[in-house]
Amino acid sequence: MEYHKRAMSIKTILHVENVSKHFDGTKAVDNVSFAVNKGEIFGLLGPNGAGKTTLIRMILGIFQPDSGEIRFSFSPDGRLPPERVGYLPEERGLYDNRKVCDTLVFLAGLKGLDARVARERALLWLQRLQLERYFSRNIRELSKGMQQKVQFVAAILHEPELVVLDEPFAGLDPVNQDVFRELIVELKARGTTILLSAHQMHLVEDLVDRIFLINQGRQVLYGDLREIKRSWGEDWVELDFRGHGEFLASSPLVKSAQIGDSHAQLVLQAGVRPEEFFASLMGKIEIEQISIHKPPLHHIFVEMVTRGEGRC
Amino acid sequence: MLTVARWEFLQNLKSKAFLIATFATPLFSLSLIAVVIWIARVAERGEAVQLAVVDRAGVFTELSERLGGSEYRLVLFTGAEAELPGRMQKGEFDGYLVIESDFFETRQARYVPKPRQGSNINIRELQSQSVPRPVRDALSQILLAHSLREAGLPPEKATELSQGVQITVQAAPEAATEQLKAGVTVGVGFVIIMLLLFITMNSITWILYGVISEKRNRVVELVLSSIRAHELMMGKIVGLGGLALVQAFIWAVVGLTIIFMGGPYVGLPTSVISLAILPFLAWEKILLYFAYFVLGYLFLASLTAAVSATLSDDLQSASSLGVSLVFLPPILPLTLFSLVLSNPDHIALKIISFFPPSTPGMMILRTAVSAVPWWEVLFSVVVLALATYGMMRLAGKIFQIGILMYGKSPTLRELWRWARS
Repeated sequence: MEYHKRAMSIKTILHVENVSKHFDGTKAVDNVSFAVNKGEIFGLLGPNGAGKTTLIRMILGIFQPDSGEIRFSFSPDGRLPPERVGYLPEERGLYDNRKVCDTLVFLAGLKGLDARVARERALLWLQRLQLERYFSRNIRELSKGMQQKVQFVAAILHEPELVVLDEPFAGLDPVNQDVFRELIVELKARGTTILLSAHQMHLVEDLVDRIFLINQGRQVLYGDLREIKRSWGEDWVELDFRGHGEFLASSPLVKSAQIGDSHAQLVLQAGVRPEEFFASLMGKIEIEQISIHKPPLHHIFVEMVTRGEGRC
Repeated sequence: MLTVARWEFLQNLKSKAFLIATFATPLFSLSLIAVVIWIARVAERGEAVQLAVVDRAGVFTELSERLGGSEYRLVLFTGAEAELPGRMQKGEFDGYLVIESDFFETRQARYVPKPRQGSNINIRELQSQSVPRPVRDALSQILLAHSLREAGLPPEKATELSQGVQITVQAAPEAATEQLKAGVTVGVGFVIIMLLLFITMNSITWILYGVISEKRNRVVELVLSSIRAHELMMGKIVGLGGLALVQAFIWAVVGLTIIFMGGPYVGLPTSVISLAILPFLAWEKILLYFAYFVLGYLFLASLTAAVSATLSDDLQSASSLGVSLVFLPPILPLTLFSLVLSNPDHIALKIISFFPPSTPGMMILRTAVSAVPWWEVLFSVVVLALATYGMMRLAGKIFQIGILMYGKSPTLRELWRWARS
């Protein structure tokens, strides 16, 4: 009943249905379907060359799919309303010989935003990112990191309902990666839906609500990230201990183990509950520190790809 | 599309490159022309040619008087004649004239020019090389005056009668004006084509570099998430075309001001210029030229946008063969200017008139120098309009795919596939 209620309140804003695209005989995207819900951070994940950018370009109408359909629920005919979507492309670039403010006003103008409003908002955002002194400066005077911030501002200045961020962390130093993560979280808090594409899964797995994992143009995994991890079954254990830990290797609860003098990394058998494993240690070793967690997304992805199977 | 057009127009209007191209380049050319004219004037006026005169017949004063106002400065030399070659070498004289005491009997004088040094050519040296005509004329007049005096005429009368004839060259007034007017009309036609060609060339160069740099800095992907590729292409074409019109307007105003203000100084009265320009101010001509210009510009600009979208994203490729092929046909009519003047109905010119990229230039030239049959004009406009429509559609397709291809240029087969898509 609770689930049903939740499902009723979820509003899908983007439907991708059976979409395929090929270039020169190579299938870049092969019969892909997913939906993006309002207000969530949706992760479009996969290695380089998996088809993420092609998929995004089709969503944004830059490419047309060979087959299948892409529909936006916020326009009556299902077509892309450019003014309601923002985009940070993977292929980053700005007019290098133009002023920051002029460029932002122009790009917002393409989205139908009034020049005066765009100028005011641009200044506020640049202040927020401590770039206000570059407002009237030429873009070529900005460092790469600064330019990426300006590009981010360009993607959101018109306050779109859906923001597509293609590899937003690529080429950023750790400090700026954190700045971008904060911005993404802030956007979500404002109610903006975010479609986030990335190949470095560890950078985004604590950000995203649901994911679509793609490899070689095909779906590998799709759904709620926590559900996926839960259904994966295996838990990972990091253990610091005193005593003799050799018995762990032969424990029926453990699938695989790497055991040292005082540290062990274990993968539990599917279905073993953490408390069950915890109880099995009692009286055998002295636990100094223990963490039991779900495997990282990267691991799940590699497992899925090597097994060559797909799960939903 | 209008947002892109406005952006391209305003951003480029403010750019240094535009300001330099619009103001500095013509100023530089004008100053260059002014300097050349000034040098020519100075050379024409020349420095005075210094001649030493060894006068043993007592004619120096009379000779000086008769040569007054010419570029020859005479210096009476009373020293030994043998010194003169050395003094010429030192640059004191450009030549010397020896008039012996029996001048009135022999009717002969000697002229020794300064030997030329090196291979440098200088007007003053050249002038001094041959027997100076004014000097010869003056000596002839002295002889004549002497003969008349000998015959018993009073000296004043003899001097007066021996004066040379002054002839000024002047053509019949009516014919001169007509000829001048026809010449200026052709000239104005030529200038109009040059101007239109300049506008077209300038804006298609801007399109070329704009598209390539937009492709290079990858901003195009961001733009294409907001508008369609053909809207981006047309926005650029319209914005940069407008910019070129502004440039042309500035040049036309400056050019006309210079022609009207400077014309009288080079023998072109304002009335003649007005008469010559008048045929171009007829509304049907303006309309026709405007149609040729707009259609021709759209044709070339679309072609350029498509070609530049297919170039790999470095500016060096802008000098490739494909680009030369875009630029050559519009210039073709100018290279045939003399043929158009002598035989505007030549069959080759007629064929070129219907070759779309060359149509505007060739037809404007032909209609400026002769009366082209109306059906030819109409046919050329129709052919050009159809070709432009086709080119814009084709270019839109190629631009759409090419603009997002990074790193490599497509093969002809790929282009064909895109065009058919």
